[in-house]
Amino acid sequence: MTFPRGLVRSRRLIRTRLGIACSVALFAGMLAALFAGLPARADEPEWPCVQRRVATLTAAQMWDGPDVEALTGWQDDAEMDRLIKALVSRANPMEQASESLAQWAKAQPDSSRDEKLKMLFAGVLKTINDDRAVVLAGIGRFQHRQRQLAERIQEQGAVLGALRAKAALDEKAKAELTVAEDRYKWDTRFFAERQDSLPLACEIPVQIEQRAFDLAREIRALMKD
Amino acid sequence: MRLTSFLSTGALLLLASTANGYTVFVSNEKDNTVSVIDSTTLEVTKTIKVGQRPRGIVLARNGEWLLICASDDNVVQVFDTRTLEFVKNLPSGPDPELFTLHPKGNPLYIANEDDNIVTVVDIEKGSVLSEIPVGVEPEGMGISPDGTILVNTSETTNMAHFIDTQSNKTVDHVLVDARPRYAQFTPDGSQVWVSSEIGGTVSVIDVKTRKPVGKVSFQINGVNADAIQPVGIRITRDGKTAFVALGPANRVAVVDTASLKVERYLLVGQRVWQLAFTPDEKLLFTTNGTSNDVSIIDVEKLRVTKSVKVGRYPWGVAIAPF
Repeated sequence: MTFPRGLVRSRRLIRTRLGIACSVALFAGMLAALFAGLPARADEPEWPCVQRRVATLTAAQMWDGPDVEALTGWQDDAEMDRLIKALVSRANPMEQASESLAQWAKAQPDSSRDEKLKMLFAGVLKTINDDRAVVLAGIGRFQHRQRQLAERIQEQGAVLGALRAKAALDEKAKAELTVAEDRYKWDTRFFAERQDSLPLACEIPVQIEQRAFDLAREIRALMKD
Repeated sequence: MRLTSFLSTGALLLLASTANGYTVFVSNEKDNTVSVIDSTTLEVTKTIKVGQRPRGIVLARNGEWLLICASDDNVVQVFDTRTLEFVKNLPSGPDPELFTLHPKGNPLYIANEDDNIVTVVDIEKGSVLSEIPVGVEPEGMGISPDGTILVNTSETTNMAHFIDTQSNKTVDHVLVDARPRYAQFTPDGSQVWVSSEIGGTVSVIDVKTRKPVGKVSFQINGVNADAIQPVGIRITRDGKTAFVALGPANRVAVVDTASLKVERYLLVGQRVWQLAFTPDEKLLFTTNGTSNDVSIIDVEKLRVTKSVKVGRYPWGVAIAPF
């Protein structure tokens, strides 16, 4: 994945004396390259992360236990519902989550433990998928805004070229050029800084997946069958 | 006498216990490290600091050297596999991601993702022999057992590029499904298998005619199609069984190479990426990029026997014969 590195390089170039004239062409090319491989179809969500987008996590991805997709009812068990919320919360360290899970499992009667654990996993998976969907949508919106910004920067590059040609002869064009250059500089900087934060944003779904998998492994290990 | 006998027996036992012991190397993309695992104890014995963003790794000089694509340093690093000391850097071209070594042990063929080229490097002299233009975002690299044909896959162009290693020129291009990631020749050199991450398939290409002769598809109950993303491939020496890593499906598919049918799916760690057999082919190691571990598969029993925690984003795996 080359987005952040390419943009960091281009940002450095903008700051040097080489100046805006050279950087416009470079940045325009880079923006075109950045968005060239991205989905343009209206029915496909925009997705900038190196990991391919997977819309929903399924139980079968996580474990070899029974199917839980159709299970509901954990909300009716207040204790289980509370535990689910605690387990999926990334603010709660995994070690602590494991301990709470083990204690809860131990307190369940032998005869119904597996069923309860199955239900618990169904709740964990649903809650995690709901949280993850919000994150995925946020990343999609971020990318959409970046695309819009990229288009604006490309348009500004074209305007700068025209103004530069006029500025040698025309004082008014010269003044307009200064304003346009400032706006261009500001937008490219804003774009690049947002782009730099992208790897961190892309990490969040990965962390959620890690949590889901860890919980699935632990819950499964507590089941007899 | 009894003591001597006891010591001799002990020495023999020790020899026997280390006879099948191999050293497993796993590159951790996010930690800039390589984890070293003892294949007998299945424990991490050491973690070595390497260059930035280590991805593809391969052994050279009969396992004495470990070559590492340090992608963000734009070099290939060489480490001594016995002392684990850094030996030297090799030129790699920009952003090296995956590479393959000529079966004779030299040269090294490196995919340069950013520059759409394959760089050919003499690993002894440390010099670039050639740069071969290929498709956009080259990645997978496979070489025929006789070393005459190199296949490179390009992620964006969706092609397998056939390169003649005598002339270092591309001689053919075969269209495959979206985002081809990995190329693996069958041991007899008659076919090359190419995995397509987005397409969710493995194309089987006849090497002589350079035509696709079949395709492996995957279907796992309860797993959505978008999570089935084939990447790493390994084929047993007898050519009968292929193992395909399926990314976020968290499964390795066991494929009968004659029928191209999946015989079994093995649940491993998260986002399973690359694979490597131990030299005796008894074990298969898988790197699991999201769960930060490697899974160990018993090849005969087709069972996952253990997972071992390594660094963050384990990527490549290579196994030394000692």
